[in-house]
Amino acid sequence: MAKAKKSKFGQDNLVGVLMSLPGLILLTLFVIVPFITAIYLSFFNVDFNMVQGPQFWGLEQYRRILVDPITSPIFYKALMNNMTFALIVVPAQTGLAVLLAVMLNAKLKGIAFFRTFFFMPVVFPMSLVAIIWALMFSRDSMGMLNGLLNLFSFGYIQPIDWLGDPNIALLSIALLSIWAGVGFQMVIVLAGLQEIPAELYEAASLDRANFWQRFWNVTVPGLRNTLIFVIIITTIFSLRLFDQVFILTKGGPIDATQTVMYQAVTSAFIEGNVGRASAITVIFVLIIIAITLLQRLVLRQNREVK
Amino acid sequence: MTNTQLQTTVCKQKNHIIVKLRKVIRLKLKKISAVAGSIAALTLGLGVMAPAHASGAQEITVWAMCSETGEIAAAREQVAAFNGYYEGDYHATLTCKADMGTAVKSTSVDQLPSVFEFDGENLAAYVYAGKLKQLDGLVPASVFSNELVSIQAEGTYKDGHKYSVSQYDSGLGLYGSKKKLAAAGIKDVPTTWSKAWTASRFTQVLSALAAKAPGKKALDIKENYGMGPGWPGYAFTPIVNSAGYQIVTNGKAVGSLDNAKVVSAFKTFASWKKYVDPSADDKAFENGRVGLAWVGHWQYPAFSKALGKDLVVLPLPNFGAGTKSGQGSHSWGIGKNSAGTELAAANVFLQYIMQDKWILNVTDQNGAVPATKTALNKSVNYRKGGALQLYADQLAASCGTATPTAKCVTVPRTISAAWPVINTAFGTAMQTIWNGGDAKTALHTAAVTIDQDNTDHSGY
Repeated sequence: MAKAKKSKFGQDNLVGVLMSLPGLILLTLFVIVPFITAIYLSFFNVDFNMVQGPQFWGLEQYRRILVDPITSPIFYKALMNNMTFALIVVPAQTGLAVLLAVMLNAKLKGIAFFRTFFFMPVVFPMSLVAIIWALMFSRDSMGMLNGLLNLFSFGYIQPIDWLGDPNIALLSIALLSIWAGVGFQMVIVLAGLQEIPAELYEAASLDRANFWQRFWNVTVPGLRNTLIFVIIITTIFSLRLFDQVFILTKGGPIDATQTVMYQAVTSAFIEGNVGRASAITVIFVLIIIAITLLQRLVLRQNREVK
Repeated sequence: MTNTQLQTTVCKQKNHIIVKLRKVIRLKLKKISAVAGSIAALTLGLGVMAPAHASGAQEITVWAMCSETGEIAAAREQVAAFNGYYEGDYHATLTCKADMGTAVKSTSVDQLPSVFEFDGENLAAYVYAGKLKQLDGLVPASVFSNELVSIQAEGTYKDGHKYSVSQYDSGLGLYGSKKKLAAAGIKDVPTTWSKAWTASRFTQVLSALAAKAPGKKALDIKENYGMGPGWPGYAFTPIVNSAGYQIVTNGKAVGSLDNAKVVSAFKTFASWKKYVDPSADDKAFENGRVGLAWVGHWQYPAFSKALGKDLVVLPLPNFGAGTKSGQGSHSWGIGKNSAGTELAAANVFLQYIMQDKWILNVTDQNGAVPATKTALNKSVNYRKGGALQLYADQLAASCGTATPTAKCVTVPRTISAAWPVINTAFGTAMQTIWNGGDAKTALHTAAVTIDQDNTDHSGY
């Protein structure tokens, strides 16, 4: 008995442990260790290059971020912006990804060209994308978007200050982000689509189901697991919002595009305030974990569907 | 050429030949010794460890900023010339850093290069962090006294000591199109700083210019550089100063940055937004869409090419305490841990690049204000009667760290280790105000943030 147990452990598990080692080591080095360090640092008043040395502050950083009447509103504003952004981007981007994937799943000549074409924005670095969009978003009539709107409305729509109007700036950033990111989700959905057996569509056609009936009763259930994955990953991506904001609006106008990630990064790397940045990160990771758990609970993956 | 001059030239040439000969001999010796050295090393099985410059040339490492093509090209030329001139004695290796701020911030003192270039506004932060070597007693006093007043102020920390030298300074003001101004009926165009337009007159000027412009815009403030933290710290701090205040007075921003006069100046500035072309193509002025541009010296080459004789250089508007302008640009310093012969070599390098010849070499490529008095006098644009003399005059009337008055013009960005925090807080406030937010609240929030940071650091 003991011998059997030992051999079982030695053969199966040892290989398993060995194979997972590279991943585990990298995760420990680049995720777990930094995160524990961040928790530790968040209890200190500590800067890059601080001469007076770190001081233990207990929960002061958390008090300033969450409670202080002058310094806390900006954090809640940023959190709200993150949530608003996710609420816009997740449904829109997922929906658009499914739409594009269904279109690009058609068996047409040259379809590979279109697939590449829609995937291209994902390959471009965000810094490049943001700079190009800055030109399109220009607030005068020379901006491409304003020019187009003006042309098609026969001069009725006046130039919009896409990035300067506090009510519109976050929407503009969302628009850009959806354009830049949808290709990634599209490819995943496309892969999911090709997993759905053709017989199901055949059977549905025999039952005289039209396009929409087939879409809702065959395609969507078939994509269930893929969609859950896409929704969770899009949520995480959208909570991480930083690059576009850093390049285009720097958190403005009037804090309309402040995000939690933007505050964490600028606290650390612009202001050198490592303590505050660590505390923001810790709070944010907890929030993201909570959201992900909640999503998994609501959108339980159905492993039976194939 | 007079006789004496001729003699000196001949003499110089002779010296030059002797120096060359020496170099050749040294080079030969170096090669022989290098070969001998590597053979010895190989015999010992330590081939890998033989250093490249085994002959005794002191190695120094140099970090330069590579954001502008002209500037990095000049830095490369200077390092190559330095290596040629001091061949066998010193050898500098240049590394170019795209983001010097982050590079210096995230490098510990013992890893810093012998010499590095940095944005002058960060001097205090680097001295505070113990990253810069004190230069008085090292670099000859004559080098400092030849620097422009503004640059001397920029290189001095609050302890009264010098920590940097600079090859060039910056100039900030207005550019105008004479034709457009005349067409709008504006006759009182100021060309000296003492005659700057008042803010209310400037409002009239903008309105008159806009009325004549096809797109109804009058001014380019380089909104495309970004109205958030960054550009405003340089370009719009003069508004605070022109209202008669510094961002921080005696260690406190509350009462200074959020003072009623400053708030009112920013309200006026924000009221000009309707006349401002966002300049998404960076060319509102060159392409003739506006008649005025609020920007620095670096646009002069492009503007003078586009407008020719139609171009005029003006001071910024006066918000009550006289026109004010920015000052400061890139500086060069020595890493704190440099010592012995490395330090000597670094010192020689700084003095080498501070020669007028090399200063003019870089300012010819980037259009900046030469930072020494002697080089300035040799510069076609900046010397008396030159097209950009206004900038030189403004810099000569530096306010230093004193409270700005109508008698001085340029104000250095707050020389404090807190500058990165101040810059962010001020830029955020500027962005809020520009987009229609309440100026009083925005400036007060910025002031509180700055003061809290100061307290957290026990006053730096």
